[in-house]
Amino acid sequence: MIEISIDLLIKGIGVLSLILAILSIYILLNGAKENAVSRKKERYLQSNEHLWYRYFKDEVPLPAELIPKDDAEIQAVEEIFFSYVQNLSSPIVKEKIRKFSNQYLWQHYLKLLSSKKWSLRMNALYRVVSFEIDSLFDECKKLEKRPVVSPEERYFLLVIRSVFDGAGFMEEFTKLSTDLSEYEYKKLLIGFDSEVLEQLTCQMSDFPEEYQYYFIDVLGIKRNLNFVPFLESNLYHENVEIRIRSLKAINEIGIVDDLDKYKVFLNSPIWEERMMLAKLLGAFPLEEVYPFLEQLLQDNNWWVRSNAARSISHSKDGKSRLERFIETAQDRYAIEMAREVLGRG
Amino acid sequence: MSAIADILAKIFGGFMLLYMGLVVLTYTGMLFFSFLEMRKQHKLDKSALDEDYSDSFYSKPLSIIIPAYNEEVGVVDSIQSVLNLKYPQTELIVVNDGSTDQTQEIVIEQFRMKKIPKVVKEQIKSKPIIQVYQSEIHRNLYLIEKENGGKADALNAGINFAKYPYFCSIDGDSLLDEKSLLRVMKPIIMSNEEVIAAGGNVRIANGLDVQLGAVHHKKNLPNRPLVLMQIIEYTRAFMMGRLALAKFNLVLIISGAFSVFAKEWVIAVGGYSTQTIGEDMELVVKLHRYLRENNVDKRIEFVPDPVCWTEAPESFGVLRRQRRRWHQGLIESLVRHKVMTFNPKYGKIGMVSFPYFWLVECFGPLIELAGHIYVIIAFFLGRVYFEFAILLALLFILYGSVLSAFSILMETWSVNVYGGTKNFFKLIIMSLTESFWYRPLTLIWRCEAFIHVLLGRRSWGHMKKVGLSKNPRPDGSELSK
Repeated sequence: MIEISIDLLIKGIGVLSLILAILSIYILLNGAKENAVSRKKERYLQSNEHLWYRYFKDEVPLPAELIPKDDAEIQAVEEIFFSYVQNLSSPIVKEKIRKFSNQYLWQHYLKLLSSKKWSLRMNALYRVVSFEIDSLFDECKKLEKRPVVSPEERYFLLVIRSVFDGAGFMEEFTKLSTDLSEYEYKKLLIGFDSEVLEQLTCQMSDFPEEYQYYFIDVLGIKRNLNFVPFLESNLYHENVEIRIRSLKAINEIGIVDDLDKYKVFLNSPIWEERMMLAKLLGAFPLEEVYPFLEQLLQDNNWWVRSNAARSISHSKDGKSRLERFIETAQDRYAIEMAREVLGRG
Repeated sequence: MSAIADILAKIFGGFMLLYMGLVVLTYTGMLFFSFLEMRKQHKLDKSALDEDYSDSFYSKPLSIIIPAYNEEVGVVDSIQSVLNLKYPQTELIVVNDGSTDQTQEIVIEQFRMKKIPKVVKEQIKSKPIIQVYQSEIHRNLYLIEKENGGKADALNAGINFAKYPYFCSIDGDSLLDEKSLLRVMKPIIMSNEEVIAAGGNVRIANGLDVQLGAVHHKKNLPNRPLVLMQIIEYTRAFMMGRLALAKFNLVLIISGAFSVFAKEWVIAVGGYSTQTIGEDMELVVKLHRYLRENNVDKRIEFVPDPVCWTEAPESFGVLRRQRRRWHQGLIESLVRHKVMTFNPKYGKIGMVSFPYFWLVECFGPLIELAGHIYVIIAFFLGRVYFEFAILLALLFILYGSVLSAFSILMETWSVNVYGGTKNFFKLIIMSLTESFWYRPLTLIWRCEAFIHVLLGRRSWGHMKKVGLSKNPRPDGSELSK
């Protein structure tokens, strides 16, 4: 029995070694092919990069040699396009890239979109979005109907919809279920104009709870003054998370006028609300809000104290106020905090 | 008498065959699984997709902690490498853990650090902080001077000081690719915070060109067999351990050299443990334990991209100490949390990870070493044993050399970190020799760890230094096998 096993094992190892050898050769050939492709790509880049630049600057009409002839040159063109799309957003250049891709690259991506390989489809989807290849929109919609659509693809398909079919997308957006991650959802929202977001504020309460949070966050990120009334209307919301996030968003926008709306948070049992208030008070003239900040500076929560101290120190005569506070106050922790903030400035 | 010996020898031989057979099957399974994963991502244009994440609106701010103990040689390079990272919002905290050399002076001078008064909220216990400095050149660069307490203690002090919700620990002598942080944070950002920790793939930088904290690869690998062997080992650990384990949330070790954690959870479990040698594994086990005990549905991930570069030991002495230390850390963590073994309360971690780590990673070296000795003895005894010996030896070769060679193949096909035909051949040929010298050596070193554990040898003073300065655990659960 053992002899048979030895025999079997030796054969097994022999077969494995053979596979190893064959795979090694395959990998080497593959590597050589890839090297050839990247050399070709380099050559294209070297000879045409400047020409692309001149074409984008409207100095020359589209020269024929820029049209890629094979995969290596397509890769080179992609690299040039990405460097423009990701670093510079001139509408003229973007339009040129859009036109060129729609005319000369779409067939390449069409092939990739129908590929069985997930990674190739992903690459294609990302390029459809980045280069705005609208001629492939219908093809992308077909992808949605595949029996299995990965979450990553689903997200890109949504983005593609938002880019090429704004109205249809809005309808779909308000009905989105909760399968997008925070990152994806916010990224979609950020792409909207402020007017669209303002329209959405009326529908926010219909969104799933988490999406409501992300929505408020994005309003803060947008830093648009027009959102403040809506955010302030949420300050008395029954959901704590919505209250805190609204405070945070208002703080991001950084402009508040009516102090009375915020005073309730001074004695809130939730420290995050007091902390956000401490931050927010920094936006008011110090003499108006100093008593409140002094109270928060002596709060039992470290984060509240820390933000109160910082808000005071940001004002013009904040430093002298803090120095006076250190001399007269009893609260050791508050004094320490005041000292720290002073030293930092 | 000889009849009894005969039976015992046969039983042991049978057990060894069974054990090795199982282990080879397990690893082949994991290798195959990794192949499926790598195939899925093959040709995915990651560098284009990375751009998508580098927007500060959505990326989570991150504190980077570099513990440093007597690192006057490498610390500036480390800091430079971190300052070069592509990530929208970070702060960099260098923790000088009571160095006795010029570490602190060099950092202060190089980055024009100025003292600042700062109250640090102690959320995890750590040795007192003496002074905090802030750089005048890079306002987000801080230096904490504290009393010596070991690497774990230094990291805890860094966590207390950190102001962002995520932190990343980097060893003083590691270097990162500029996209490392983006890549390692991606699972956290994309998972809606379901992922609370992510480890990166650590690679060896010996012989590669390092300038201003950036690694320029595509160079010829060094010729030293010991370094080449470690490169193979790290690759193998990744291909046959991490990737598969991570997929099922079974990872017990993510590299201390480069990993990101959600601060909240690390504070909840009391931070890094100062009582164990392998604080990186200990933290991950504590996190898993905490999650299961509190019924929280969170994950710990492993990122396949090669993102962190480290210097591997080039001498047998240093390597031996390193391996002994790693294994000692592994044993200690497993013993500390032994209640989790086969405990259904801890789900897959208790039922799969722990038994696997005990049997294959922890006791594996003892069993394997016994197997090697058996092969040698049986060879001389002749008769039936001879065949046993050959069979077992072949299994060892299959296990050590062939699987390693396949790992190298897969790595070249998928990520191809080291590049070049010459490097490929160097690695493949070297990997085939693994069973004949490197593997037995590391087995002996790891078995020494048992003696150290049994004798209660901690040799703290020395350990602290080793832990901080050189050679982070690469990533491989496989390595501690």
